[in-house]
Amino acid sequence: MRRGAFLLLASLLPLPAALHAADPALRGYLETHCFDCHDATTKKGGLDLESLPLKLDAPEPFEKWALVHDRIAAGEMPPKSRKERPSEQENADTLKLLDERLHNTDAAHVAKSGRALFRRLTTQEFENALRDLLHLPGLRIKQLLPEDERRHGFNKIGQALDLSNVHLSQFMDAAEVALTTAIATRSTPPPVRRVRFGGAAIPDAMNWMAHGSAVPLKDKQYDPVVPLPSPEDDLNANQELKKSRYATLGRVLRDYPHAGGYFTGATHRPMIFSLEYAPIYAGEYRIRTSAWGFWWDRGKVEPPHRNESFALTAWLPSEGPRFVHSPSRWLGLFDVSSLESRVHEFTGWFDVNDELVFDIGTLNGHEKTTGRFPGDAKGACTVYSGPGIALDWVEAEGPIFEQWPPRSHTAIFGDLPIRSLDKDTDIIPPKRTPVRQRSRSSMARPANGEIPKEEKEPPLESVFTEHPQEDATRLLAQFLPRAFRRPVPAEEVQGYVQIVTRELERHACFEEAMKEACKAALCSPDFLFVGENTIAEPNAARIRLSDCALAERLALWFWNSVPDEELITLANEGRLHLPENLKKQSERLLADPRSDRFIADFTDQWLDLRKIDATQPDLRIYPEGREHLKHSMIDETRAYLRELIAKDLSVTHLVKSDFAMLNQSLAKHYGIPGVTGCAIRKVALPEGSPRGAFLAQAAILKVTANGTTTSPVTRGAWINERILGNVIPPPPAGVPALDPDTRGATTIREKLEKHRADARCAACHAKIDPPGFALESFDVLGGFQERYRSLFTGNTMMDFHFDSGWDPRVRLNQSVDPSGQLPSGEPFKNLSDFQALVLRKPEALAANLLRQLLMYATGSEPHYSDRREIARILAQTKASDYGLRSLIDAIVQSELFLTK
Amino acid sequence: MKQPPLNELIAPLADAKTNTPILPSLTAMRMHSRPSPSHPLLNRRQFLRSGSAVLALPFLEALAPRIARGASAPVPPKRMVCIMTNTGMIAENFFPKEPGKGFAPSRYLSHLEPVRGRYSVMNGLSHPDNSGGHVVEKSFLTGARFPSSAVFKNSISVDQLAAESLGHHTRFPFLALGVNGQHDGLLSVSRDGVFIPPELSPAKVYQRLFTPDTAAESEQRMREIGQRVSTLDFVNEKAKRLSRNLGAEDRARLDQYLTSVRELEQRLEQARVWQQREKPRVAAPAPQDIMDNTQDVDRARLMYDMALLALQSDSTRIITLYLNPLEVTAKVPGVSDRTHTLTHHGNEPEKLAQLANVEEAGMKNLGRFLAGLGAINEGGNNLLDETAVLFGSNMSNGNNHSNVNLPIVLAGGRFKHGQHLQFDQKNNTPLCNLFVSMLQHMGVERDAFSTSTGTLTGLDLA
Repeated sequence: MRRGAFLLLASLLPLPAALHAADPALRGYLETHCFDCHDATTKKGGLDLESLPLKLDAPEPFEKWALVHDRIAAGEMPPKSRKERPSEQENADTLKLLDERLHNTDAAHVAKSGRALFRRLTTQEFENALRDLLHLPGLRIKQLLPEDERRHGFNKIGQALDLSNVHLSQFMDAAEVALTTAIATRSTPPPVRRVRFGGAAIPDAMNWMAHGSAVPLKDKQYDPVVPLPSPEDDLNANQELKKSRYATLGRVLRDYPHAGGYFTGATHRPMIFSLEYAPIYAGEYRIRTSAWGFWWDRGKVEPPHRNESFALTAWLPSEGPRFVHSPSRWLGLFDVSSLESRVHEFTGWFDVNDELVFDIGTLNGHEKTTGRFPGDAKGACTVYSGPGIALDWVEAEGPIFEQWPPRSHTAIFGDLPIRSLDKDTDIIPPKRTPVRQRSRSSMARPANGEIPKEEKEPPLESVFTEHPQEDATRLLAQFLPRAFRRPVPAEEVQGYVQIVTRELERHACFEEAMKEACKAALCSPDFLFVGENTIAEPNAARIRLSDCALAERLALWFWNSVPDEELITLANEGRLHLPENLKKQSERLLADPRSDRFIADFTDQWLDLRKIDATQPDLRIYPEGREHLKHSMIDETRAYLRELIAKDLSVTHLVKSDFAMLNQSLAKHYGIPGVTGCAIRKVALPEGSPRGAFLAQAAILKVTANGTTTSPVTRGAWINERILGNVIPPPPAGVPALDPDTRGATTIREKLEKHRADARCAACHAKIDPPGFALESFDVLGGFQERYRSLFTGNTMMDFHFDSGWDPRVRLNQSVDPSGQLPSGEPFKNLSDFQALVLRKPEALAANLLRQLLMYATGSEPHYSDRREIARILAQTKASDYGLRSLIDAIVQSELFLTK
Repeated sequence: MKQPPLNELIAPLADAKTNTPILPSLTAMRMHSRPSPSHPLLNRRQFLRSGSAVLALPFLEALAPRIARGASAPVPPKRMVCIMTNTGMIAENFFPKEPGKGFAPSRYLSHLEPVRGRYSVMNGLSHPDNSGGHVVEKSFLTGARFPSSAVFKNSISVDQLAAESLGHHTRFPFLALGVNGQHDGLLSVSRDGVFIPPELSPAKVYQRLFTPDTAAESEQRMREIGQRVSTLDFVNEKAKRLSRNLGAEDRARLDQYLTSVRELEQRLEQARVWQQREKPRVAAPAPQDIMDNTQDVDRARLMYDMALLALQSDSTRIITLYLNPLEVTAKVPGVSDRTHTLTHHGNEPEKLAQLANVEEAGMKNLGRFLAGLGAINEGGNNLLDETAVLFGSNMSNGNNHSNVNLPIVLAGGRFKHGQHLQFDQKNNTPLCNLFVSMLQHMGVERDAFSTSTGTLTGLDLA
């Protein structure tokens, strides 16, 4: 455990060993039990206790002594193999002595400086804060900012949140973008447009249909606008046929009022395409779709065998060659379960030119292994039997504003009117972005040609005031306290009014001048930094946070944003720190939908969900790896954490559960019957199922896998650090890395056995590997495996049971061995055994989760002197079996949360 | 074309934690203020197959009249380019079989034949205490230890160190460029340990370097600079007041803010000066960005072209280029899988064959770039001789994520090249030793950088 923050490191000169003489008891213990290995000559493991000064006010010796304490306390040192072992009393005395020293030193430091640093907002907090402050829930500016660094996996830790001129410059640009988005540039709202088009009237659909990979459907039957393509039709060979088919489809489909049918079975590439709809104005849009499911049987439409889902996503075509994880924004999954058309609705924010994307979640078939489904050059649909999704129509309506000017605008300009700008003045007109200045696709609906001239070139309008000085003072006196989360004295407001005055003198219009003042506020440390507000109490053991700072802490934790009016009001009244208010407010914050940001951000960091795309399994070996499944995986893990908190379930659920949060595709992936539909719900697990808990969730198993291979080392280290709370030291230098081999001759375990035979590696790997061994039963996507998959080796072929009959050629190779033994020696046969062994010590799981939550909630690294308070919280929450909600409530009321 | 946000104008300026003068020296100004469209096309070269060539006056030619008048010939400016590709290189295809001089080029190095004898390849270099696979790319140009540690803190990268002392000579103290860049891994790191995001669009690079602003744009830009400087002055005062109430450790955080404000102001002042000066002109047309990210190889080639134009026009002397082919299925014949999937080849021959094709395409790009540099002469000096080009990867082998025995090539500069330098495979020599050699080539008087133990043994200046 790190001792905490020392920004100015004194140079650490080795001090004479004589210092230990001050503690004869300690010296005696060390000489008898430690110096044989850890003296100045042997220095086993690089540790020389003989010359390690007992000088705890410097970080390096402090950490080493803390490690000595922890190794002795864990019974790992002195090693069990030694003949002469210290008595229990000797150990207890030594531990007590060390613990007192370590605690006192750290506590003294905390009393002086606190645990947490005064820090800047993370980029995500910055974005959320502007969304909330400006009432722009769809604002996206995080991508304009450099990625935050992390410590202990979290970007909220003060020491990780450096600020450079690169940051500052980009924060200024991002603030500019946010304010520009917020400010209304016209006196009347942009016209609401409703665009509706048929489910086959999509340029991409024409290609699919020409090749028979999609079909036009009328009255729930094949519509022979072109004859059902024959499998003998090779469009690449028969250019004539190709031309005539394209000509017919091109003519018919443009205004085709009926449905397009798309096959969800294997195709040579995923069927994901832009619906060619892109809004002209940013704002809320209502998207409606009418769709139904069917079973295609070589030309005939039949009722579907089971529910299918399609996804809507939005994609902003890049202005430059940016690396894009295609569909950038997941809007949702929607079910189609029968031949009956069903209407789905989605409402959300779209930026200008955000394109709507339709994704039916086709399996990622590979050209070489498309099996029974022929390639797109031939009439696939005459031989295909399998599921399909039909799209009747898509409708988009917007932009929809609750009020005009929108709240984002009135948050800055109140009720000032918006008027035409006088042309004959020396005022510099405000910058305006031309309407629909670019559009990736000429097909985009509404097309540029449909936009009337007055819409393309709206009159130049802007906020109007007759009394700029007074209005600026009044408006900024409202804006600044919200931005700074505290009362703002009049003279401070005046500073910002002077910016307005200055800009007006430089011939800026009122809008631009106010924007400059707001931008200055959003880039000032008052907005950008948190945590400086403390209460001075001489000789206090900890530095108490003011109510304002507490409001920030609560909001940053549960909303990943800044406090709202209710929190600020309570803080200003000085009543927030009262236990009943802290409880009530944390309840309120957790019940608010904005708490999804905490669930998402915390799982992104603690459980590495943000790395879900970091590696890609080979789709030839894992053809079931679809986008839909990936998103469901993430949803499962988040929904599960949400459920544990909502129901105050025991921390043992991190490891083992009797229920799981599933939807249809997850249930299918896990082999659990009876779950239909894309919505995540709570499902009771059959007796003996190891699923449900984080340990056996697909998302966790995916982020801990290595592309196409699993490694017990990677997974083991991860489970140790994130779930079990064991610190794993980095690998020693000069040890060759394991070379994964998927040719099928050796398994990763066999390779690892050789590695573990090396004495240098054995001790640590005894600790690292066991959880990884137990999880070898799960493949890189979290599917259950008894044998490893291979493309080339193994006699048994896998049967994927795909509806389409697609049968990828994947072989089953060597058997998986999920057995192992804990460092303490207990053997386990599989994950279920391992779970049972881990559950014997729920307090260790709770202590680890507490540490993770405390880092997130307080933005501080773990400190040695936290231990006593953590022990107290553990004792307090034992009665609830360490329920997650109880742990959170206890943190909110704890000294660690209430003090700096 | 729309003007880029103000930030882009100043983003690539040097980290201003430097005592060097903020304003460009008079010589530098004169150099840049004399674009001469009527100048004969001495530099039209065939180096770019697209037919692009720089028309701006390169360094020495601009000063030629002075030399003719008897002034002493100035030392031609030194340049450096640091290129990293982040998926490793198949060692058997990269390293030559035998060490020393006169090695037979390996499969990959055969694409550097046009500059044979003007580059060296090194085997047995790595950063000490750097393990952990991909994450190590954070340290590629910094050498900072333990990048996979929970409490990792990065340090200044070699290009930024060079830019601190040399950046003020040019319009852009450095250029950080990238192909398929993503947020997590970047090359250039400021003194505070903060990554400087690379520019990913060749079209934007071209615009910033060469496209002249209209009078209205220029006026607007000057106004924005003025606004921003005023805003910075204002928040600076606010922050100073705040600092009175803070303890020592917290004040250090706020000091970072104050420093950032000051540096940003300096950068804006620099930008203000350059804004009033004409940009160099080039005959090469503005490039069209390639939107299809499978055309990774073509994108990289376009960015190499921009690097070449930037060096030749002396718009900058320091360039980093971050190549990230990771999540792309490269449009290369015989390749059907994502590069990242291929690097996890599990020693399957079929995947290794695909991967070799991807890597080889990357080496062709490098060869073309080096040949391009070698084809440019400025007043009797060859641009490749003045430019030290580092090419390498943070991994030696993507399959096992090994971070030792990195594949490294150094081309150009006045070194005794043509060698295959072999270092101890078990106890690697610090890569930073090579960086010290590169800094010395740049004329930066340093005998140490990060984890270096000296200059690189065997790599002597010619």
